Amino acid sequence: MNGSSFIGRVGFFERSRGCFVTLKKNPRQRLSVFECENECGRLLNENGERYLFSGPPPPSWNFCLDAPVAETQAANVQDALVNLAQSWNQITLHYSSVVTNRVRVNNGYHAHTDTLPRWAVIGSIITSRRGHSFNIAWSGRGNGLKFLNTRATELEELVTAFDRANRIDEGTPEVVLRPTAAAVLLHEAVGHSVEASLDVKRNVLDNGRYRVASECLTLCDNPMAEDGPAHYEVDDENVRSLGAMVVVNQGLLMARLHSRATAAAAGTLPTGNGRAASAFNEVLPRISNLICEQGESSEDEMIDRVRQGLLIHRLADGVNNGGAVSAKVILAERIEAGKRSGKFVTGGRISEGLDILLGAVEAGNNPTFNSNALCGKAGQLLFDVGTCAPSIRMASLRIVV
Amino acid sequence: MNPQWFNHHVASVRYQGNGPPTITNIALEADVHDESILARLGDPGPVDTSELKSVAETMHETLLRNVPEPHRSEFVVEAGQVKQCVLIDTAAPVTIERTYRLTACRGEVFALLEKPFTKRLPFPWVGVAPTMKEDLPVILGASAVLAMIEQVLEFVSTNNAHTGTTISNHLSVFESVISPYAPHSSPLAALGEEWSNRRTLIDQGVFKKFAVRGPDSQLFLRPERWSHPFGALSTDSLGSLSVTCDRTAALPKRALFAEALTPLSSGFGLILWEGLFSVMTGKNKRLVDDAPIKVRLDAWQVLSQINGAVEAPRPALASDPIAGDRYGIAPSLLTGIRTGEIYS
Repeated sequence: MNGSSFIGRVGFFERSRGCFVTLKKNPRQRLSVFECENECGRLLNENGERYLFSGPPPPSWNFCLDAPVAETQAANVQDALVNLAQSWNQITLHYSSVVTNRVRVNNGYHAHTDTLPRWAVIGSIITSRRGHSFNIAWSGRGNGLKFLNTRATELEELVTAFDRANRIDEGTPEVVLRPTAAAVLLHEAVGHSVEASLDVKRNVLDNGRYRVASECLTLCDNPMAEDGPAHYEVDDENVRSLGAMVVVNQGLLMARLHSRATAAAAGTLPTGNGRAASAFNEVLPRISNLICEQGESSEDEMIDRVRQGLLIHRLADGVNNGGAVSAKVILAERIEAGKRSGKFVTGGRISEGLDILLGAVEAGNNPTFNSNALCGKAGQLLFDVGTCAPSIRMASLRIVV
Repeated sequence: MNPQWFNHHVASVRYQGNGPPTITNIALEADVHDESILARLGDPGPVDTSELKSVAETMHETLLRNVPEPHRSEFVVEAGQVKQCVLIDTAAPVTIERTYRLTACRGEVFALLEKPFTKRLPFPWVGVAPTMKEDLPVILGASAVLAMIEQVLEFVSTNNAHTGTTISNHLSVFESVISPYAPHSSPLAALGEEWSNRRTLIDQGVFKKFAVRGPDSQLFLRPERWSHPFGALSTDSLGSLSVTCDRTAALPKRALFAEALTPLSSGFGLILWEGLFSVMTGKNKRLVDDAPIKVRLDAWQVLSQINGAVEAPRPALASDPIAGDRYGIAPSLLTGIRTGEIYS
């Protein structure tokens, strides 16, 4: 590249190490390993031209960035995947771990350097009884091996229940969402609603407070939350986070999450939520860790109050398309006479408006970080968008088949 | 026989709308061992992109003024070069170098050529569409066909549903590591057609059971994927798709033309899509419905009602909200569905 015209006033540079291990068993088992080392960046020159490059940064930046230390050894990952897969004849697991050292450059000043260790396991199991596909998606911060080494029993229970589940009925039952399922709806219905619009013109008109959930729900965004998948003091635009920020108070929208650009358009201050998936991507306003305040009831007490309805264990493929929220029902259990019945159902999807959480009646006392922290907003798939949710009781939820 | 080492270098200059260009210069190198691969995204060495910039700038200036005003912000021009080198066993490395030029707008690919071009492109938009009240047949443009095929393949591969579902027996779909968009073509393409790993995914409407490829399909070609969890997208392990239709149909005098479709969710049956539509009033004449429209469509149902191809296969672009742009080849297809089923 003839880089003489690139002074590099504003930019990103990162060095990453990645480890990708795939296990395929059908029933013969095969493991493959792919490792990568990246050195790449992006800079803008004074004419607004964008330059995406691999290799070292331009000499004018005058700095070195150490390569990150690999978080995992492929052999350890292989052992963990083999162990996890041992109960299944047909299973595919993809483990990804990427550690990134990232630095932002502003007008020649080399700002904060971050180390971001992220991991994910994506896969599917073909169930032995019905031959259905059960999809797996876990992700978070660190290397994930500790997490993987404790999941075999839980996974076996879930897949067994899924394999013997009957088709779900269409209707609008009263439900209790377990934390994993509640996290999907909170992320889609509240999380994406509190992120500033990417259409910066809308932000000027869109600063009013209004109700996005019922009074029982209060949520904050906190990039420094202990155990949260996201973990940073300074966002990808060098904006320092001020810690937990209440975004929804008793159901009312209180604040939006902003990058520098959306904040400028809305006439407000950035909130430390500018995030980019890689040096090649533009910074967008994104949730860090969305945390729902816990209520007072236990999950059992909520189930008892429902009497007849559904306990939703697992939702997947949540989507907020700007006008509605939907998610697939992967596993639910009938509640009969205020008790869990052990009768599992699957299929169908939740299909509601963006005001879906106006139907929340109470939040439980069991907040838990969701083990799936993947979010693919606007073409940028982040591993570490956290949601900490308690069980939530809903007056009704529309399920379509 | 497997490659032991390869290198994939892409330099390009891209303009979108009236904005400043994006200049890309990246090099990927991989060492392949029996069951493992080590890849490095590193220094491409000194490359002068001034010629590419000059070509892209000229194309941009010449062509942009021919694009109707409402569509200028979506108009894309790109000029680039791809250099690939592969080493197999003890033979001498095989190197190929290709240049390419791309123009696209409203989700459609208008030209993907290796030679420069600045002549007026046959943009079809001649006016604004009236409010849709007519009962018209529906044509899926090449990009819309590709998007629908990708959606059904995603469902089939993630739900192990190869049997029990079919689409029109006039349609077949092939996959290969060679893409019409040179930066997405595997370095294996340098070794010739026999290395393209072409395989049939849908044979005359019937889904074939196919093994998901390893991480070789996209990770080597699209370094931005290294910051994604591998396998999170079903397209991670799919190469470029090529759609064929063994039947032709006469072009209707007037039809609703789906220029691009983007799925807003996944699954079987009716799902929500964001579509760009126009009213076709003659060959290469369309009245445009400017704003994207959200429609509920069942890809299986639509792809089961294919009357025939109204245009030969050509480069197409399927844009996924997460997976990004994927290039393939598809014809435009006249379907058996009517506007009422789109706008109901």
